[in-house]
Amino acid sequence: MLEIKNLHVSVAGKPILKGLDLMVNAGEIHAIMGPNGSGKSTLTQTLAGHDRYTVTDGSVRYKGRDLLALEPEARACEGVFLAFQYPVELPGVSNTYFLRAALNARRRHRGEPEIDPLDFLDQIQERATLLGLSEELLNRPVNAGFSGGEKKRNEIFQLAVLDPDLAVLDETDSGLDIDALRVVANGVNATRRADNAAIVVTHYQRLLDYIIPDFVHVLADGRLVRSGGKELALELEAEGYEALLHGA
Amino acid sequence: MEADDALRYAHAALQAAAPPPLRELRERAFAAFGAQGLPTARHEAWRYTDVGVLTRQRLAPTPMAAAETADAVAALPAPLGLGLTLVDGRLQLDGTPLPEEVSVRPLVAALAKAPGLVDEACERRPLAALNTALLAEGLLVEIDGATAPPLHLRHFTTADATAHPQLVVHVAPGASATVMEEFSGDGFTNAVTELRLGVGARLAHVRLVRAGRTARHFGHVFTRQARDSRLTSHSLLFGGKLVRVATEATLTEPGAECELDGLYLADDTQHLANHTSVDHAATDGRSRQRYRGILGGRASAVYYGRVHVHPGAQRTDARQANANLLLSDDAVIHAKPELEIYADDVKCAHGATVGRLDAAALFYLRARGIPPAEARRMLMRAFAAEVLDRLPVPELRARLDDELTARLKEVAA
Repeated sequence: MLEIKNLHVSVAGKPILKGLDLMVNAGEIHAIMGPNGSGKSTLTQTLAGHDRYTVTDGSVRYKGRDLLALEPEARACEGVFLAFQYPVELPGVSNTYFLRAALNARRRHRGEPEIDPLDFLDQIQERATLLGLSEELLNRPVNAGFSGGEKKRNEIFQLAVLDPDLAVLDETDSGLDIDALRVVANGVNATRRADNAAIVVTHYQRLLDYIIPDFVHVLADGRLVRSGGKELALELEAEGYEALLHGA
Repeated sequence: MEADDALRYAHAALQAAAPPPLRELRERAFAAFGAQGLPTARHEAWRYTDVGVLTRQRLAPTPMAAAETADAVAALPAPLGLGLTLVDGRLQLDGTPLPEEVSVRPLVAALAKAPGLVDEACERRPLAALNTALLAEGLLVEIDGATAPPLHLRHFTTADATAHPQLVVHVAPGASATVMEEFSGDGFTNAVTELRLGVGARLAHVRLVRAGRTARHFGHVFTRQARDSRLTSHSLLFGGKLVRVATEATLTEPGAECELDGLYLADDTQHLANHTSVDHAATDGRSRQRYRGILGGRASAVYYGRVHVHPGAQRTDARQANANLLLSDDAVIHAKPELEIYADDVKCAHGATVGRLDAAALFYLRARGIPPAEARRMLMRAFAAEVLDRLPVPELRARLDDELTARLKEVAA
């Protein structure tokens, strides 16, 4: 599904990713862990197509196509979803209006007719129930005045409604209490299929108690320096990044 | 400046057979206009607006346009509630039945008996004085009841025509009403609106300028509010080549409340000027001003807002806010909020902002699959929502939302 080769990315002229390789197949969940400043957010923002991040070398192929050649909206319409570390507040844009615009954009992209408004309401209500979101929240402006936990929950709600092929979660767990963490994990697990995949970027191991990864990678200084199964996360948690990276 | 011959002739022609009170009113107004002359760029309140337009313009009213106007009027959006249509300042009688609590009649007829109906404030502003000096018909709307349906006045000014419509609205004590004035057409309009609210009255006044690409529109709105009355004013400038609307609100008695909302959208070389002034002349008044503008192309706009708290107007609570979204490097906004406070126990705040569409918000929308043009429109719509969502009458809000969406497609292009 996703094949990243020798990816080099700079931000404002400063190299951040320095030759990252990653292969994600359908049905897999990959966790990427790493200390602050290792390039985790650079990777997720680059996959989403933010123009602040300049790819200087390497390639990213998604479903056999050059992902980097696509505009951000085309990537989303092709099934890539980024759950933002810092979701943006959109005062004046209601959650339902926003979601319908997003759903219809991808339907137009696929040559499908726009969604029937009643079907749409049924669909979002079902997903909201799944994530324990109140109906009141659906009609509020996107993220405006939301608590940190509500924002993250809203990201996962969008993920559940848009049902992407490749979900990229950027530190969705940071700042969440255990209950919110469970809700987020439920959302991800409930949308899991044999033909989709997820990349879960996190600083801490605890989210991986609820979203069980098939692979765990350690990102340090712009490269994946170790890869393994889910037990690698536990090892990291026990010994810390320093020990693992410098082989103490 | 001396009034030119065409104006003098138009004024004199009206006076010939007029009853004395009306005659005196127009006489006084004409003298006031003559003494002040046309506004010039030396007047602070006119500095940013091209006043040359006024000297080049035929100001004398034109005879009402012929039948071809009928098609243009028929093409206007349907009225909401009780519809009244004025072409070049003249009411078109179409036999619309009015409910008991609403009375509509020519202002000149009412003035023959009660000359005090026209606000003296008109004489202090040259264009408003000119409007009164040339008052040929006018409209007096009196509302006496709590359940009056919305009244929708559609003003149409034919291309090359000059119109001086005047509307006086009286809302009786305890009564409530919604009055919408909509201005379209390509001509020159110099409109005056006076709103008077009795004790405890409620009035929502919507003023929409959706005039054509060559239209020049000047407007004055004067309001007076008695004790515990509540006015909401919604001024929407969506069209016209050069538009200037001045709203002067006076809270004359204690406990009155007024909210002035404005939304202006300009592109190309349009110029849209909003001048507001709220006079707190009594205690316990509350006022809010929320004006928002979206400017593209080489458009320019003005927000000149003033709050004046008179001596003794204690416990006044006044706020004014102006926010602007600039879509191009060549668009210009002159924002000037002002407070003048002569009482000590008051809460007053003001502020103005100028910004661009938020890049982070745009990326967030695009990352959800929404194309950039649509994303920009969504953010602009959201920016305008603070004003638009406060409009009275759901049908009106829906219609103006559609107008806004259509207009944003042009402005953002």
